[in-house]
Amino acid sequence: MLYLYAIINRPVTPLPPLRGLAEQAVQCGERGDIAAVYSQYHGAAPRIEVAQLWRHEAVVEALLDRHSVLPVRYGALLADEAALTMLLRERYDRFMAGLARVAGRVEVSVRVLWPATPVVSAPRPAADENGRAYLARRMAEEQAREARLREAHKRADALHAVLDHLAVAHVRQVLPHERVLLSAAYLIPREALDTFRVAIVALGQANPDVRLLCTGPWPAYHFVDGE
Amino acid sequence: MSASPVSCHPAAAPAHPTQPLPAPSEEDGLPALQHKVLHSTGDPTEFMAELERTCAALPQRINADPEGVERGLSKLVLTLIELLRQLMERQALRRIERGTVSDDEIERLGETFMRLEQRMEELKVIFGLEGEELNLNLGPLGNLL
Repeated sequence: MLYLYAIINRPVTPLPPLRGLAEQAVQCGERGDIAAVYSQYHGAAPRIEVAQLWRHEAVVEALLDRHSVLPVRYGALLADEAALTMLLRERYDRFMAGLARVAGRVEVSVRVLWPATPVVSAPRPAADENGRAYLARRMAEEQAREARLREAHKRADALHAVLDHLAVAHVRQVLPHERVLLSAAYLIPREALDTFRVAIVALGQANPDVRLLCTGPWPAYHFVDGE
Repeated sequence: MSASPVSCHPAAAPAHPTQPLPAPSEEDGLPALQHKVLHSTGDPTEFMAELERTCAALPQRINADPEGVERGLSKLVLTLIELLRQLMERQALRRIERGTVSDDEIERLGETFMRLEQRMEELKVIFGLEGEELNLNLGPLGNLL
């Protein structure tokens, strides 16, 4: 089988020497102006493990300096080189469009933690709670949940507005978990990295009650066509 | 576009034997992540704890052993039942807010949803599932529940 790392614009020179998962040499298969980067793979489907994920990431990042890169999600396997040929033939135009979209751009991740709300939990239901009391309790919990959601969107929108104008695209989730106010990825021109960092620092200073974590630059994982 | 078939060639030049990449920490995600931090206003371990929670909710590949499959399927089924229960309950609360439900109906609906919630708690105990486990991460759409 073949383990797939990325689709790149066709390399003019051979790829740098790299080893990928299971210490297999990284290779590329070309078609037209694009190439698929892969290594041979044997055995069961790769499990989700930190070291393996970083190995995948290291291969993809090693390509970033000299290529436009469409990163492939961890764990993608192809049956053989014939399947690789078919993949590149069938999706050639989409890959070309995707490579044009990410050319010269990198992904930056932003996570924002906000204070955990002391849950104003209604007292646990009494053993003899009746139906009306149950619904009244649930109504209060639901109203508290919706108020928290409204507040989260208001705060997240304000933070996002500062960063969004620096980006050419974004994906974001508001309150994916109780403590995570915002989880977002921004596709930015590589040369805008410092400007983005300055904006993040300013956001942190202006919002001392939240915790900000900004990481990058990453391959554009969130801006690749899902297929 | 070239019509030539895929040409697969070894990436490494013969004069340069392939080398392992300088992988960050093989065991701990935090040191590996630190070289990617552009800015942080807090203790990164706080974020790691949240990240681990997120990863725990990511869909793993189906475990093919019988016990794993049974647990995975029961989790999926209970999640869907819980989704339906919550949707029905919220619909009932909306109707009550609009004042379109009689007192008798409120009592009856409340009894029904209360028993459903109790039954769900019992089923979670039977299948060894915690409340937080009954959820599905829908990517950009957020969590199911």
